[in-house]
Amino acid sequence: MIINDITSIMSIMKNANFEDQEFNETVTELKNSFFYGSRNNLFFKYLGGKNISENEFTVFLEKLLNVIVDDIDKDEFSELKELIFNSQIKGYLPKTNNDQYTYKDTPWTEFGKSLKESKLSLISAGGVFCTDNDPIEPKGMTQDDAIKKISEFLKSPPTLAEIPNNISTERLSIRHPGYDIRAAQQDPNVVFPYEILKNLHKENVFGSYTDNFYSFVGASQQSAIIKTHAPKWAEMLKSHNVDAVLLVAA
Amino acid sequence: MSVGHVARIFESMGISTVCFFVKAFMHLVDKMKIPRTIVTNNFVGRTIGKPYDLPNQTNVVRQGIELLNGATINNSLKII
Repeated sequence: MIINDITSIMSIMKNANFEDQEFNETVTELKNSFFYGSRNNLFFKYLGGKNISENEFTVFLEKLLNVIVDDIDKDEFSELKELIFNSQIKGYLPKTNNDQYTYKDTPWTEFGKSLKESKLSLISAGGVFCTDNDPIEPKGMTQDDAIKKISEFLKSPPTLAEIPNNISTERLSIRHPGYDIRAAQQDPNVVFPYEILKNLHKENVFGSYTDNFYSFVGASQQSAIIKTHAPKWAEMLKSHNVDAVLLVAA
Repeated sequence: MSVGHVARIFESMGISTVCFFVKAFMHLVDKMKIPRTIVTNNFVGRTIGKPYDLPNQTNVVRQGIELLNGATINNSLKII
C-alpha cells in the first residue's frame, strides 16, 4: 500500500513537471501575482499590493496554513476568518499618508423630516445592473474582461445603472473589476440591499422609495465623479423628491 | 472612495446620506470626512453581510436608516 502511494505521488509530480521544470519564481513574484497578475484573486489581491511587505506576506502564509489545521481539528473556521479579516484590514490600510482626497470639513444636510414621511433611494458602488440593460459598452463585457480593463475603468467616468425597484434577483448581474463578486452573484443584497430596503418599508420604517435604485462601478475616475456625475445624480434624485440616499461601498 | 465623494457632493447639494463601508475601508471615513457612516465587520465585497443572511443584513440597513434621524455632524459614525 505504501509503495503504491509513493509511486502515485512520484507519478503526479512527474506529470506536474516538478522534476524537470526550471521553476525559479521569487517570493516577490508570487506575492505580486495575486494583484491583477497570473494568480489574480480579487478577494486576496491586497496580499500583492504595496501595503503588505514580502515578510508580512510570508508570515501570513505560514499563519494561514497553521490556522487551517487548527480549525480543521476544531471543525469550525472562526480563527481562519479572523486571520483573513485582520489581514484584509492591514492590506487596505495605506502605509503612507496621501493628501489627495483628504478633507477637513464634513458637508452636512440635516435630515429634517420624520422617517415615516421620507422618500429614500439606494445607490451601490458594486457594479450591479439589469442583465437585459447593460449600461456599459461594449455590451456583454464579462467579469474577466472587466478585470483586464481595470486601468481603463479607473480612468473612465462612472455609468449609473438604473434598476427598477421591482426587479427580480434573477435579472440582476454584477460586474466590477475591483472586488470579489462571488457573494454578490449569489445574493446581490450583500452590496445592493434592495430587498432589505423594501422589507423595511413594509415594516413602515420609512415612508417611500424611488421607482428605480442605482448602481455604478466604484473603480471609476474620481475627478469625474466629483465634478460632473455626482452633481448630476443629486439633481436627478432631487427631481424625484428624494430625502435621503443609502450609499453602499463595495 | 467613490462612495465618499458621492456622499460629500449629495450632502453639499441638500440630500442627506448614509454610507455603508466595511472595516477595511474605515480609514477613508476619517480621511474624507464622510457624513453618517455605518462600518460593518464584514469582508470586502460583502458590505451588508453574508449572502442570504437576512437577519444581519436587515440589522445593518435598519441601523443605517436610523442613523439618518439620530446622527449629528460630530457623531455620525457607527461600527456594527
